[in-house]
Amino acid sequence: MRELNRREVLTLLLIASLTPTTGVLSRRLEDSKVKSVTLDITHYTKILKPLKKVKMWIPIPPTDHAQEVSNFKVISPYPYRITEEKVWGNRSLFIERDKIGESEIVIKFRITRKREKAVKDPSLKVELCLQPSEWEVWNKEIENFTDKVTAGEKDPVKIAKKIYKAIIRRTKHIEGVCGRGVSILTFEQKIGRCDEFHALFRSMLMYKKIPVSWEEGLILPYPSELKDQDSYEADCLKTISWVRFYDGKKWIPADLAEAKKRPELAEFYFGAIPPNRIRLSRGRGFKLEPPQVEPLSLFAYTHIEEEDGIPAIYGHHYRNVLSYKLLDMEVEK
Amino acid sequence: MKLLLGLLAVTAFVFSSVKIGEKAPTFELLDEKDKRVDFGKFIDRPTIIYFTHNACHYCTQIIAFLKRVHKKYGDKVRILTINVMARDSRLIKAYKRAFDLPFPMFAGNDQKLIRAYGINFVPVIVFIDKEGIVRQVVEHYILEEELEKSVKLIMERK
Repeated sequence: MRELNRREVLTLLLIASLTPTTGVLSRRLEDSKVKSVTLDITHYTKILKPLKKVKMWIPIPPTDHAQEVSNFKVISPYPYRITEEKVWGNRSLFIERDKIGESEIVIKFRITRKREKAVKDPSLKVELCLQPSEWEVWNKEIENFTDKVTAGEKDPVKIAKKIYKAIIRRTKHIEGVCGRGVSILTFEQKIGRCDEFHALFRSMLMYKKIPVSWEEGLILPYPSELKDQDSYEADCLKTISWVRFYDGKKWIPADLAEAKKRPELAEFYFGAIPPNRIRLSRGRGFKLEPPQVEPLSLFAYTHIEEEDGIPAIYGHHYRNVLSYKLLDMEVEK
Repeated sequence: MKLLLGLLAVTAFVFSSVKIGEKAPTFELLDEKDKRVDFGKFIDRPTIIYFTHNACHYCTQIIAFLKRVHKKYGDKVRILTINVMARDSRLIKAYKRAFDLPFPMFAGNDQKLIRAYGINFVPVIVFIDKEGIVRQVVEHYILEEELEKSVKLIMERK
């Protein structure tokens, strides 16, 4: 992105001082000041090649403390049903067919995504948030490091903050890869994107007996970069994970990868998440409903299995595309 | 996007567990016939080991580049592909059929292999010379011209 010249900066400052605190004109203001965005979303699952004995699960966004989903509509050439898995309550649009040809399944909805902050949330089960997935099992080295970093601290928020800072300090952020989110490898290699940062954070917090959830979804452009409308490939590169840990009263959100990418917002991302994401699932390694064969380290794009549970190949058999239309943006006074 | 990928290509860092200048670790993995094969026996010439899985969009584009390398260099360069999602032959058979792969693919959902190569994300491409020594590791999308340079690097080694 090119740098603005002095005249453009002055013009923007003038516009910012004159514009109301809500509405699309405010969007050049700081991302951390944006309280909510409202968008119309169209999510496509495009089948590129014929498939046989197909089972397909498309993640469906829930309404929760940070997002409100309405006007949900499905356009599908095939019969479908909405299913819900039992552990975390993740929902899918499920299709089962003997064969499918080149086609597309479209999901439309309106979403108001709010800036996420610490909340009481009875929908989150503390015990579940203390069980590491197969990718988050930790070793003695991780335990020793965690002990050293937290140095006898007892307060869960202070422990989490020390671990947050330590991981951000020692881990390089990388783009353009599809992460597996394995804690031990992240600890050893000191590199990753969101899944790697958050898997390690979860391992360290769970070792310290602090419950921590895994939130998963699709990324939207930063509020300051949202266009009136746009569309993009909603593949593994556009997935985003974040976490919420429990201090005994509230669930506190954090995003270490974004904090690493945007050091000026590192404090903000411990306790708040801007509204540029859509949550699609929670937890890792769960069985969808009906159960899939392949264990999933994340569920934020369509999962398709052919005969015998063989996963279809993204980019070859199918693709996901997300289109959005920005309707409103609410900005803090 | 191409500019971003180009930047990634020139700002390469190596974080993999494999060490440049050392022998590539080898393992017995299941092949497409569910037979355990030590893939080290194939590293008898300049070799590319390509780690991928089914959910990676860019990875399928690299498959196309590798097929062109195979067409251009034939037996002079060995190409081994490892699908870290695959636990047995079923997935790799389907993958090979989907792309009409002219080179082997192994089932790479093997903890020892993944740990030894440090595969925490894909794509990862390991370039090995004919002595079996790792010369380069690329841990992100690669442009075709960069791939070509890396192939030349491992072919030039005495």
